[in-house]
Amino acid sequence: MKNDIRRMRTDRGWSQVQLGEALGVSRQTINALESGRYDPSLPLAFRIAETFGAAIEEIFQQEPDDAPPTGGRR
Amino acid sequence: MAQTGAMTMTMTNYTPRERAAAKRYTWEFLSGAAAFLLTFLLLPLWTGPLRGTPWGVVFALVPVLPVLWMAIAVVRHVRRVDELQRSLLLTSFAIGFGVAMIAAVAIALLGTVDVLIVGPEWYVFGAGMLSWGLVSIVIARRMGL
Repeated sequence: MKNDIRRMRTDRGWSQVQLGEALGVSRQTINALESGRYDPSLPLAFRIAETFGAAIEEIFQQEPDDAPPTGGRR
Repeated sequence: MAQTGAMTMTMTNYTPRERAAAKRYTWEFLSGAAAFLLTFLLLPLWTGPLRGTPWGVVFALVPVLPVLWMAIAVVRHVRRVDELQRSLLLTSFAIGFGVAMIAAVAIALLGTVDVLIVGPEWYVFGAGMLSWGLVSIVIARRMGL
């Protein structure tokens, strides 16, 4: 999925470490989220939305070539 | 330095929570590894005369206790890390387990044609541990970690 996490984070002047600490995840996870290598679980997606004060749909956008829900490669 | 309003943070690559989790895991795992080495290397020096006796069996198995502690340390670490790290850890465990099982089956099959491996259990252990470690590194790099 595409997401706007990096833009929203930098707009607020936060580092990846600061966002990771706020969400209770590692900086590496933030990096993986921002680079599109990892899609968050639903609870984490809700925490991200709450942290940014935005709806999930404003942060995450589906793409036609997203991996199927059961896993697998793109 | 990253600044947000009045908050100034020193730029590091790890959150405080990550550092604490890594420290705890390192301490727990390495203490178990040290205890294993001590018991594995030193106990036979003292319990040699008991070889072949029931107490000899008991003392031979004492090093399993620190290995059990190391396994507990790993489980505790898996429960402490975040969802992505947990997924990567479990993937590497699964592959390490698979490689260990393949090694065990290969050694067993060799035994059917009278090719006997000395200390086969150590090959199984080594194959599993080595593959776990290597896969951990590979998948972490793939994720850009």
